[in-house]
Amino acid sequence: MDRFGDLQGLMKDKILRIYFFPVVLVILLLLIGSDNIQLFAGSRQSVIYTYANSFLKGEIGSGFGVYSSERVSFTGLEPGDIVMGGWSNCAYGRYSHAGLYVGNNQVLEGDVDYGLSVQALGDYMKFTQLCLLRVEASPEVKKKAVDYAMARQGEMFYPVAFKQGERYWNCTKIIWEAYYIQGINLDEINDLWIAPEKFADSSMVKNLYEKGISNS
Amino acid sequence: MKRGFQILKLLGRVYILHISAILAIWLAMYYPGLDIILSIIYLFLLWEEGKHTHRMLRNPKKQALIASLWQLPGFILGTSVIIGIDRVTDLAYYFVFMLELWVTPILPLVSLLPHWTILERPIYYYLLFVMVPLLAVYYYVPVHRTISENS
Repeated sequence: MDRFGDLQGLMKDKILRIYFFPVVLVILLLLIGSDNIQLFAGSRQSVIYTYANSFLKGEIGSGFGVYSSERVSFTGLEPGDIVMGGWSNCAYGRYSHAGLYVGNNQVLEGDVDYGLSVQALGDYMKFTQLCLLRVEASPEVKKKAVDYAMARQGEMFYPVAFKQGERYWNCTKIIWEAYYIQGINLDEINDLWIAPEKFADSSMVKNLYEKGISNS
Repeated sequence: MKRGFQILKLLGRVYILHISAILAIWLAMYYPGLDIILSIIYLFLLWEEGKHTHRMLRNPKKQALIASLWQLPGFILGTSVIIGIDRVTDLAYYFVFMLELWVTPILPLVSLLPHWTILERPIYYYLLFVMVPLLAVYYYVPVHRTISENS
């Protein structure tokens, strides 16, 4: 109890109070950095590298563009398939958004406005870049992945959520986690965050359809 | 001039506290549970900072001004989203994301709430707009606590 009182006393000091979080920040940067040294040591596959490159070009965030008027057929999609859409100026890769197809022309996805929620598959038609992937897993595994994701509806979206923990989600973390707990790791470089395009790069998926991606 | 500088100094202190907390608590999410502890510490430090400001100024109006200026970015972001400015320009689309990042220091505590939805939106979404004035009031409250103790 005395030690707690000492800590309270320290926190009441006006100088220590201002330095507390900056010091914690530096310590956490060092700890997380050392835990992921392979990503910070110039790995060009990491989303950190992709974002840094885009930032230098003046691109930030998920990007934007004129909505596509092209009709896309989603016939043949199965629950557990991954749907990704994006704009050419997305700062973190070819695609800015991803959802897990859950059947009935619906996807489970994450967004700040609705948290993890079921939305219409047709919304993805607006993207100029679109990709449909099938995870190479048994129907039972895919059903469990879908069930896991569906059980998380209403949970909090946080754009820069780390893969650790189950209180903060973004559109890719929920898909990655849903399959990860079934024993399938769709992020083969074990990045801090998962950019949607990393799913397309995974050896565990099959590309069903892709549009808008230049080969140059 | 001297009092103006004092206000700026106190405003600077709360900005340093808040912005460094945003970054630290975000990183703390890498270690689940640590973010919750730091969020509680943040509220404690913010309360002490509010008391410190009152001791320095002894002026509720000036303390209210500092609280408002401190949360001005949050007010602008939140108001923009509520009145729909974020649908007008491409950059404004990011306002709601920026608002969520702005209130990161207390998001860990919000994340512990039940995952209820109201009108299809989760509770935390509505709290994004409520947290901004709440933080300003929380920083201001030590003024009234001291006044009532003295009365």
